[in-house]
Amino acid sequence: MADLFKVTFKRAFLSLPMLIGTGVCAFMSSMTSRRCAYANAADGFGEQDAVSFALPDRKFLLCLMLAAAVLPVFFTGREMTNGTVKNKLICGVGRLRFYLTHLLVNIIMDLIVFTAATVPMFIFCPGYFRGFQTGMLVCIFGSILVCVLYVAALSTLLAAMFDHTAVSLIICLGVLFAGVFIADKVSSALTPPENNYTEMTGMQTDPSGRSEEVVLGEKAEPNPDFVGGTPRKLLWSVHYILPVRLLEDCELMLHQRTMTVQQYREQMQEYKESRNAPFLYERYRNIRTMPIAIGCAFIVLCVLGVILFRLRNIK
Amino acid sequence: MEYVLKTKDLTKIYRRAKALSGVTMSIPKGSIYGLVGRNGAGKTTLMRVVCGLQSPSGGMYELYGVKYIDRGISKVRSRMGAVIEKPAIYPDLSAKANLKAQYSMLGLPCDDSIDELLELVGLADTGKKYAGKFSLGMKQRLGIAVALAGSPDFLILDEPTNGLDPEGIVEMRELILKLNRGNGITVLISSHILDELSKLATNYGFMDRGKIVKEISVEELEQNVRKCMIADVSNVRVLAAVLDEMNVKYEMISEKRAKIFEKMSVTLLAEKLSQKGCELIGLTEADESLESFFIDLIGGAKNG
Repeated sequence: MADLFKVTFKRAFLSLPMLIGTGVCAFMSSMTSRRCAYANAADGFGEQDAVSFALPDRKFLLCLMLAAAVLPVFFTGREMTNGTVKNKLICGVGRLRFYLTHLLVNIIMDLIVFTAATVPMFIFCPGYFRGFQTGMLVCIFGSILVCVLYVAALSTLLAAMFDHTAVSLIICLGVLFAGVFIADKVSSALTPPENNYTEMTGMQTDPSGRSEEVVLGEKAEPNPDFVGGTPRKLLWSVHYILPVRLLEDCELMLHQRTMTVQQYREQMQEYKESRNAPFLYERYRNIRTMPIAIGCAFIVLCVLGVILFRLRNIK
Repeated sequence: MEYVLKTKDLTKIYRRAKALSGVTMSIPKGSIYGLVGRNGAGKTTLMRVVCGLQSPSGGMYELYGVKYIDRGISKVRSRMGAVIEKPAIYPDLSAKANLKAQYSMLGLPCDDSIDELLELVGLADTGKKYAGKFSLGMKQRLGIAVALAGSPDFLILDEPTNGLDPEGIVEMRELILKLNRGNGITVLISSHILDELSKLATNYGFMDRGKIVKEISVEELEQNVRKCMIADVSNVRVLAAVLDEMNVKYEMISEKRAKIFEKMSVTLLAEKLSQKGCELIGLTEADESLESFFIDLIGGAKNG
């Protein structure tokens, strides 16, 4: 296994897609961090909004996830396209050994990309992250890391199932975007039946002739996508294992750098009591269990990959 | 006799299509076993199953006496090498780097044996040229070299001469013969070019519609395809008596036809037959080849 790992890792590490992927992620990270550092300085002069515009945003996280998905497909997929997988299996390298070696190498590749994407942030913008509590930072970056592992396992599985890299790549990207789409739909279905309470105000004139604005009542917008009962419970399970939601939560948390754990709890309580955001409360309540659920989904994907690859007919 | 590969009622079913339906065959150690069959007969599927790339739907096979479901099969597989369909090489590496990668994967030291292997397959002078830029013949030879890494003693080659020019075909034949005679490697080879196969194989397996229709050795095949004359007569029993008298080898095909396997005077034969009241209707020379034998056999199998 060690020999196979050494050869596989060497090929993966020195491959062009790996170098490009790492380079792009490091570049994007350093650019974001520079913006962040500049905004952080501006924040010191009272321009508070500047920071939130410069923070690692959804695009950055999406780019990281794309790199984490595409690299394993390129690497494992090429073994399938070139047929070199046959050389290994014919010579007695078991399918389990082959799959696990590739999974391990792909995870390491993705970890390198993850490191390249996050370390520059701490190098170029240490001031910004100093505002965070360590526990909060561990929670945020741990969650992103779990998502990266999930994507690595998923793309390894897909790459090992098809004979051509192009097919694996198209399917992998399709699955990723379908995941984003499904997450959006699930989120919409889980939003309470009545949402976005808005106050209806009006002008009232008192006997002295002065006019003032008063609240006349509350108006709630109905949610046409709302799903209740057992399907709602099922949708919660789906919600748990979709890394898109977790990444969104990470993104939100990155915008709350000055929040302590105590303040975080208080905010959760606020969400709970607010009629406007019960769904947000539910989401925040689950943020600690979500990485565990996604970690479990990662293990399921690994086991599923091994089983399917063992059953697969290789041409 | 010691066998490298033995299969019994080996079956492979893809969804609804039956690619192998009860293949039973044995490959003797040290032989070059030619697998003959038309497209879709199941040759490549059989090779894939034997190589462990696909699992059989039924039946069994054993390599060096170890059943494919036994735990020791991985160890036995390390004594195998194969090139199935297209050579499995890294196009972005040189020939030497490809071999180095395979050697490292097998846990073997990358020593002079790599150069020797490149020399053996005639790729010693390719330098740093990427394998992706090789000609088809060179890729095929590199594929064989990769399969030979780890000194296997059983080599499986699926249509190794496909797409090669005449010179390449001769080189490939010489290489296979060198590996078999010089290194004692048992070879399982499939080819459409039957004439080429007949110059190599010591044993044959004829496949049709997922089955081995006939297995014969080269000696048996020679008996079947040797040069002969076909005599058409009015009474084949009289012909048999005359040929026995003349001490000539023959084989009766039908009531009016027989094969004569030795050179003889046609005038003398016609004279003797005439004396016994048998008319010699015609005498034609038949040059039976592996190709005609195969066509006769598969035609027979189809009709049967």
